[in-house]
Amino acid sequence: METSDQEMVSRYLQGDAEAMGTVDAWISRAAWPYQRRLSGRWEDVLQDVRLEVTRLLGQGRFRGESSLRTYLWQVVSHTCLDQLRALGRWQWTELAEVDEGRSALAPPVTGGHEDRDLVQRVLERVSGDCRQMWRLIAMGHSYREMSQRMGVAEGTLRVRVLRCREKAVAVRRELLGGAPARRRNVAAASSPNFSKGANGE
Amino acid sequence: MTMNCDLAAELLPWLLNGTLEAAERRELIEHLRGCDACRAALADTRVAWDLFDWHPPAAALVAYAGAAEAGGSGAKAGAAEAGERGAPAASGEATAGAGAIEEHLAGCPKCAAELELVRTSRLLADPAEDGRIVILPAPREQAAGRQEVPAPAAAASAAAATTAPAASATASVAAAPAATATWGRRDDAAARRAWQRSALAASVVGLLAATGWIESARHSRELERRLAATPAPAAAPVPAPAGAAPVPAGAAAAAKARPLASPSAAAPPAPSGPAEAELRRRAAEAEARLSALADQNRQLQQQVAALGRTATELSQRSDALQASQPSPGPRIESDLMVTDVEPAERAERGAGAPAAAAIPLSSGAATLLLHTRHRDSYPAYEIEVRDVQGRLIGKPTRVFRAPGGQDSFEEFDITLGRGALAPGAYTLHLFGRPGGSAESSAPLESISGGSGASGTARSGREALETYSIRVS
Repeated sequence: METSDQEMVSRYLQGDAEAMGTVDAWISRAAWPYQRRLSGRWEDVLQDVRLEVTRLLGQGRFRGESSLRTYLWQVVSHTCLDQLRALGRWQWTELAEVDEGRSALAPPVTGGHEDRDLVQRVLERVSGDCRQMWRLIAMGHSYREMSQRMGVAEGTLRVRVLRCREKAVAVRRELLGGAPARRRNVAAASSPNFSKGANGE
Repeated sequence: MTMNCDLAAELLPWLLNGTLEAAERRELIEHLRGCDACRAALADTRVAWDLFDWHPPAAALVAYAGAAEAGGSGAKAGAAEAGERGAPAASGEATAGAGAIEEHLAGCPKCAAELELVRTSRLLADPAEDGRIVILPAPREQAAGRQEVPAPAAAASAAAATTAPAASATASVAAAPAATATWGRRDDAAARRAWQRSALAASVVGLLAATGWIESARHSRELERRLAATPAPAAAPVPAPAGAAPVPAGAAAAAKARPLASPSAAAPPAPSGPAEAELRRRAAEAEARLSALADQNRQLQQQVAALGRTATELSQRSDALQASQPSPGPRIESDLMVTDVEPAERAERGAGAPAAAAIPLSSGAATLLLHTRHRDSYPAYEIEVRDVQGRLIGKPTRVFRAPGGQDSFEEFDITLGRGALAPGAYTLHLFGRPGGSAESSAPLESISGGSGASGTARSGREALETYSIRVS
């Protein structure tokens, strides 16, 4: 770590005007590519970045393993990407009337490091066609659009998507130490392993 | 569409992404309310959604971009530091999952676009690119909104209150107002820099304008010199004064050969020695010629002033002369022609025969003054008009008699209207009636036609005079 970075951090935390101006200029420059994508919340995001930088520097998280400017870039990019993904995250339709009284709803499985490993292992065992079809679903395509795009009948498409789902869920259950996947999801819903895996994540 | 468990299980993914038609969605939700198995299938569908809609975490993308950019351990270590900011750690997967990320990027345009953003940000964060990539300033409203951001030092104090030393927290809190003022000062500094740039640009523009103006003035002076060196046109020659130096023929020809409006002619000559000397010589000649012309102009002005004074005196004399002459009275404009007609017998007495009086009756009426030498007075008179053959044409009825006095003879006035007689030669015979008649004193209104071919011998009258006239 260069001494100048340590001095910069120290002066920044002490409210030195020059150090604050320099750090803020670095932040603004690194965050500029995200400005258009975050135009509606740009000021809020930029403020979040400043607060995060200040918090991390104040907690001594910057250990000088890279330059201060590189560290700031990482924090800026990390924060801005999180905000972008939060803005672009698919909002599931409101199904409160269906979910009422149901406690077995699966939370997002990508919340932790172990889940990412699990996801990667699951995806390695499903076909590329399955990943492609479900990516189209996540992008908001209807089954009619997908059938026209893929050149298959609507019923055929729906069945394929269903089997991909069953396959992925079964592999996940298997990786989590549960029983082998059954053919139909109706039986899988009552599986104790599934409930354990879903709630245990 | 009849909803059953199989169809409901197939439609669940599109229920989640909201693309089902209203009727399908209504039937499906109605079915889910009464079917536990399908609600469990809905949970599986959500799990599958999360599995298939997996993307590398932001920290992993940042670490991947940093590693690909630097290719060293520094970036990996930086990624590890960034991963400690509270988000999922990315240190391990930044390196171990690089292959998985690349595989995912190959099939996920969304993450590929995010990676491009990260790489662009990395490029802008490179100190080597500071002078080569210029960031456009944010809009004004955004710059104004930035001032509302709380001081980072204050946020630092709040965030580090639990872990940082008390002295550091105290220093941070104390620096909060100063930090708040710092944001404003930075905006002021940016505004000052903008104004300085604007002022510099305005100065450059002004300098360019002044240079152009000076150059234009120099061209104007040069054009004036050349115009003065151009000889006067031949149509209006100006006499050269005695003291003026004659313009060399060669210089005049050269001046004619160069059109003044030509840009090449307007451009200043190259500062060569002979050309400059030639220009100086021409300028001296032109100045001398201008001086001589000014003298001549002065002399001409003096002459014009003297002539003006003379004209004024003559005008005054003319006015005085007109004032000394009596007024001619009112002039009567009339188309009535008065002609004196002498008797034809005057030739017999050696006085010379008068020519026939010309009477232009075609242009208007005419009054004839018939003169007579007879002093004998008759109670009545009569006039007859005869043509060259002696035929009686008529008798003027409108005859005025002017009685002669002691020293004068009698005169008779007759008026002939326009067109009363056809063009030709006529004779007028004057008779006196000794017996008298009322009509002799009364004016005869018109020429009445003759009653006979010859009236000269009519009884009771005496021929007095004969007049010859020519009507045209």
